[in-house]
Amino acid sequence: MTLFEVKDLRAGYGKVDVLFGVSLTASKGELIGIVGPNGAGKSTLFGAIVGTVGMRGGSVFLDGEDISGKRPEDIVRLGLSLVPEGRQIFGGLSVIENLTLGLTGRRDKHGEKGALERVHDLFPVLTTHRDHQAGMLSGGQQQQLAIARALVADPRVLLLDEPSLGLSPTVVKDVFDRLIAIAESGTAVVIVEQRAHLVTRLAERTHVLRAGKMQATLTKEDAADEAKLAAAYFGNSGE
Amino acid sequence: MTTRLRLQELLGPILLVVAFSYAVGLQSAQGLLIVQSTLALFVMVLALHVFVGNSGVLSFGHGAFAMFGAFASGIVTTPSNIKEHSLQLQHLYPFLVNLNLGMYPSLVLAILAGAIVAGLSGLLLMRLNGLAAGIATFALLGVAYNIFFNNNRIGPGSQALLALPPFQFFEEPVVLTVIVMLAVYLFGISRAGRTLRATREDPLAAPALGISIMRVRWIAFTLSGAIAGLGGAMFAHVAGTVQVQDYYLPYTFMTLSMLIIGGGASLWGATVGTLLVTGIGQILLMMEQQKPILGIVVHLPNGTRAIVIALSLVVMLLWRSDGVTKGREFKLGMPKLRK
Amino acid sequence: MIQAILDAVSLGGVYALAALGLGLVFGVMRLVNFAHAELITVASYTLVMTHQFPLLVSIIFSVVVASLMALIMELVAYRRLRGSNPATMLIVSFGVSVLLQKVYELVFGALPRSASVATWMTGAFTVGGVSITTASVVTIVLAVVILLAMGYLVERTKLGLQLRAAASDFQTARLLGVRSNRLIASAFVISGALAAVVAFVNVVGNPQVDPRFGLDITILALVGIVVGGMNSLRGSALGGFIVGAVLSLLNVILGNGRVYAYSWMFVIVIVILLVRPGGILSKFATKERV
Repeated sequence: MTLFEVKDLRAGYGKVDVLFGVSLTASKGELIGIVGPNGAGKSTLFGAIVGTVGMRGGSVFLDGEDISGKRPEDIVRLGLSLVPEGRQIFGGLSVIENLTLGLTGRRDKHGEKGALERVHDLFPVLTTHRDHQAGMLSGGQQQQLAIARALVADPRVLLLDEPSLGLSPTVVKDVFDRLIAIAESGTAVVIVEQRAHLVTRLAERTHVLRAGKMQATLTKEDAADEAKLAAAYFGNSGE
Repeated sequence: MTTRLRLQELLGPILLVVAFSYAVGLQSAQGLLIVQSTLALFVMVLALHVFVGNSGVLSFGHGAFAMFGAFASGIVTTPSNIKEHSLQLQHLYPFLVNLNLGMYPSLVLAILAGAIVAGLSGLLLMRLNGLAAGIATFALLGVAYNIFFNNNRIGPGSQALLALPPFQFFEEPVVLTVIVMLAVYLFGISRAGRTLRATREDPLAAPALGISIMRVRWIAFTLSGAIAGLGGAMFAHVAGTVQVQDYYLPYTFMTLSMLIIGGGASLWGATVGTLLVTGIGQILLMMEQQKPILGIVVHLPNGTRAIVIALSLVVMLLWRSDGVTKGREFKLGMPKLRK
Repeated sequence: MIQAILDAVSLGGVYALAALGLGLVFGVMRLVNFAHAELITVASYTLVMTHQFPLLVSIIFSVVVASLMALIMELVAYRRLRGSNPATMLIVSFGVSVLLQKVYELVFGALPRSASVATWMTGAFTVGGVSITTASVVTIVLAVVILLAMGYLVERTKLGLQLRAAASDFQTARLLGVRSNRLIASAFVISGALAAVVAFVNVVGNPQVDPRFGLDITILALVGIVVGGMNSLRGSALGGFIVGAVLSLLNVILGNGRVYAYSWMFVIVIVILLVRPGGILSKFATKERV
């Protein structure tokens, strides 16, 4: 059953339109990829979904409920969390303070302890650095913190904007392994990546976003075919 | 950037100001006073426009430059025999007692005073980031007030300087104002002016273009200090008196409101804002004094005028933060034939 | 000598509280609320108008009135400006300030209203041969207690955590579920309450309340937050303290020249800013919000 659906979404800033009708679905436990070149509108798409960028048309459904136009602080309470581009952890606050802030977005206040324990199991390194300033962590640890901070809100849908940014290949693999584990636990995970090869092999479906439109959708099998992937990514003209 | 001299942008505001001056100023003695004080305030608004409008950085400190201009011009034009005998000037430095200049040399002195004070204080203020600089200008105003209020060797202290010579002819302040408008417009289209506006739109991009924000802001600050010095002096000669309180927060608020209600980013905005606020103020004043307007007497309690002006500033900013003109320059409203 | 130091610490404490109120609101919405002055003024009027009540009741009244006024400012004016350029917000608050001054003039008259509030504080007592004014000691105790309480609130509570997070990156804080309206409203209410404390100390020292009563202290506190570093609450409070304490000491040191204390203080401020243009505590700059 579809848990999360974006329908014909349009968005932009000022006089500039960025997205011209983008659609997308994800079910419980699915990992979905969105790839595309710089400036394709990937971050705008996530911004519009979580309510930080104004939508100009279309709708977003979470478990059948229309959440379009809601405020970011309300959307996270409905069970949709975003790990923003560049991680955006609070560098001046400690690791545990960052996680505590993540708890703000929970509906169920009783499960707070359990949520923190789950984080401990998934990202033990964060427990080691519990009281350290988050700004002092390594890039990979910061990314883990950003994911953990979103997870403690118990999201049903987790969006990640360029989680591989600035990380070394081994760290990236580590992060993606955990994302797979998170998806397997029942959360729908949607990942935006500029480096397409990172997600195409893992994702149930990978959408190619270019010039504000979904240009193609690839399955895991399609992704194995390099030529097909390149054609979808760069457009048929092969520019 | 394709900014160049467009005559209508300059002539539109000038014509409006001149037309207003003649239409109102030649009617009655009261009309003359309204015109002269409006022009004096307008010169101050133009000073604010040069810096605040172009750079986007607020200044609450221009009252200080006006104060320096007003006192400099006032003290040298007050006749020596008055300076010798008036009680509030008995502690004046002797060289100031004997110094007597004509109106125009005194205005040059006012311009220099404003420019020097702005230039020196700008060296520090422009090092701060935009918002901190804006707040720090409060300190500038406070210091100037503190000095002039307490020091009776350079002026009348907390008392008033009386008997300043007025402008001889009706045209004098009008011509002065037009000259300032020309200077302000030319600065706006100059390389420094365009660069400054670029830094207003995107302070992060400017360093990338090799532009020193500090330098262009300092140039504008100094120029606007010079104009504020002149505006303060004109205000003094129109009123015939100078008192330090006249250039403090209410003066700052009035001139900033005029600029922002009109739209700080353009000469046209500064012009429209000044005339609009003056017009509204006059109508409300007549209501407070229970004078008929178009045959109707509306009675308003005293103090309403100030409330309405403050309220209109707030409402204007909430409704349209770039002012009535949206910060655009004057343009004839004729539909274009081409295209 | 001891009295001079006590006076400096107590004035510094008062200015620290004023600066903290400004800093709290600046932190959450990049608004430099010039109309903080009118919060202090309205709280002072409340103290004077309710002086016949028991002191505690009168103080509670003034805290409630100032907090309500702060909340109304936020709801009616500032809420519409969220995310605007800080210069626009500053000038709006300047307009709100003048507007309220004129309203006070209409309601309370332009002349000062006065009443003796907490007269027991105006006396002095002797410790080991040194005469000490009660007001300075009470003010210091009050300032220390409230600064400690604020420290606890900001460092140890959930609200404080949200305030700190929002001050460094509001957008991300909202993504995590921090309710923006509620948080900003809380910041305004707290700043109103702090204004009431400042008002209390000032009214005791000078019970002549006029429509511009809060202006001077607010302008100085504003300069204080620039000196201390606008981006941190500690910086704001420290800057406020420095400005107040220096001003108080200058009044003693300058003797007959004390009328220029204000100017000399700004000379010191200028020297500090020349060394540290971002303020004393400007270790890391937080990013501007979108």
